[in-house]
Amino acid sequence: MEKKKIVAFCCENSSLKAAEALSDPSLLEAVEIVALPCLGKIEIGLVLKCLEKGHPGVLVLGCPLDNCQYLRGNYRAVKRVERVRQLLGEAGLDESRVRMDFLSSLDSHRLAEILQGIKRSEA
Amino acid sequence: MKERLCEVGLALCGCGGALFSAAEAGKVLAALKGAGVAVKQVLLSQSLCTAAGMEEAVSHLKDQGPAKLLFAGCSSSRRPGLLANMAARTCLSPGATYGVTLRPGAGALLHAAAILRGLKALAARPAFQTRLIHLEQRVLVVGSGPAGLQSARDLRALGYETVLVDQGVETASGSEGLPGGLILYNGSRLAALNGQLGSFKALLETPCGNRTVSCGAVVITCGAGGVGRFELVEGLLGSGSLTDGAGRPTGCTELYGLPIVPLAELAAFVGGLPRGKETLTVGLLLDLVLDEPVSSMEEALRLGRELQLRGPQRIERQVYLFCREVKVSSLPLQGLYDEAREAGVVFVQVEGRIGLEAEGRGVAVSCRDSVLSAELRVLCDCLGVSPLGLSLAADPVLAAGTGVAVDGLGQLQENNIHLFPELTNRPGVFVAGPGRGQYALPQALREARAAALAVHRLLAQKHLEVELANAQVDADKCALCLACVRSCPFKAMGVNREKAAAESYPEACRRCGLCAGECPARAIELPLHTDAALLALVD
Repeated sequence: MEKKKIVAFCCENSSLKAAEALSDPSLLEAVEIVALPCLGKIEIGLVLKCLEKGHPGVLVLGCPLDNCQYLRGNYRAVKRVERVRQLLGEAGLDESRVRMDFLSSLDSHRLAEILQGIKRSEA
Repeated sequence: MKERLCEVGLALCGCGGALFSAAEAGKVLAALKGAGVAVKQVLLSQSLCTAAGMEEAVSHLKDQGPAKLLFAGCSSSRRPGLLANMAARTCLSPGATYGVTLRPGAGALLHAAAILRGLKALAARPAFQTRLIHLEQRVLVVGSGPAGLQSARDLRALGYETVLVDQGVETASGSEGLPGGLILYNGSRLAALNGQLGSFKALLETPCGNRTVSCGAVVITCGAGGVGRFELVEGLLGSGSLTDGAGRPTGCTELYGLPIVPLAELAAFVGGLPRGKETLTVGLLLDLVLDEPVSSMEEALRLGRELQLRGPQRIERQVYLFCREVKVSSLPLQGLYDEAREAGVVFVQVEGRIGLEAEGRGVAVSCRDSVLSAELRVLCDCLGVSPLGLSLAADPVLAAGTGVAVDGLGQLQENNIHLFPELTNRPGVFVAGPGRGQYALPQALREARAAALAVHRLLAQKHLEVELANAQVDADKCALCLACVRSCPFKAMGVNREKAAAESYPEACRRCGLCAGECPARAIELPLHTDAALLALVD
């Protein structure tokens, strides 16, 4: 069976654009990108389901705070990710499997760093 | 797949430097052809995002245009406003356009890949029914200070029926200064705003009981407590003269009787100060309540240099600039800073709390200088503060009644980079001048005009065609917990009493999915991003 990848939930308005503009698109193979209209769409259940299905981790990538096109989406997402991590902790699982980061559409270099980090840790 | 893609037209924009020439566009098209995709119509423009480029594109596409249209260009080609405008002008349905960003220097192959992704997204996008929203040609303006009157005047001139609401018993200018055909409610307040853009129902508490006014849009121009800090004298908008709170004709306002004025009015205020003293000390205070933008720094530097140099010969002036951080991020700013320094402005970089107290006829500023690591106390004859530092929090009743969110300073506009000066979180409600903490008169009037134009841009369409791609609530699952109503940033959720379930209003819904993420009963779904589709992606 093929090894499952880390799922990266990307906001269409920021991190997805950053991903499209990566100078080395092969880096994207390290993760499975799921585009969301806004990080406010992410659900606790969705993140947990990803882990349940055997994905090694979840990366939640949204806009910098106060920069959400939909005003408050990323604040809600921060709360939900915190809750997921709390739930993982309660279940005795590694909280660092769920990670959140804030990228603007110009932050391709930071996305590249994150993806390289993932590749390195897998190798 | 190929047949469906062929119905899609492609518009390439070269303004952002993404596509430098027709030759490069040719390469992109060749790469597309290589990938087995032929697009029906290609429009190559140097500037699709400008008015002229838009005209050209519309005339090209309107009659024999394709059923769907893909824009490719710099990041502005992905602007929702541009796409919606284009769709409306070319008679496409709102969802039939899509924008992709081409990065300058990415090369033809990457450009083609981006366009291909866009074509696929466009082809995969289901068609939605649309609904025609009637836009009522009446506008409610809250606050009859200079900004409110300016907005009302502009709106009347544009032909809109305008209703002016003010808490004051009388407008300072009397009824003569008011534009003709204006409906005025004095001593009234806006207590609640129901409905959505195009057909708001505003509940007004007037001295003769409650009234409901239906209107297409709302402009809020009143600041703290609904009482503007500027009062109007006759012919104000022509001459620009004002009275302060005590009725003295001056161009300036004072805060709590202290010589504290907005930066924009400082020069005039200093000019009017009595000239008895040997040295006049002028303080410029930035970052009083929050970290301020670079533009405030720019204004302060320019003003400091001017005040320091342009004093009358006999009176020496000393200008102090208090700020938390000297922001000189660009070359012109660096130049301004050098000039101000050479002119003799003293810079004080403060940390911690800034104390202001009355001393004699002036203000004493006490703070801790972070460079000298010493406590300072500077007695200023007058103090210029940026409007942000001067503003008081907005009327909480007004904020709650209209559903407009406030920022950390209590102003009726959230702190978000996507909110242009006149925009609020609620579609159809605009804010100007004191409503968002802007008390400097010239700027407030400019904002009032901008708000009137924003209303015009919305209402001039008469009807709004919206796609029913908004969040859908499953009435059977909905438990009416109102989590969605509370969490929607745009106030686009309400309760449908017939169905006994929550409901989203397509004219205000921005399809962000926050409600869907929030709903504990999982009763809300975004048609464009269904839960099933998302789960399928992570399988």
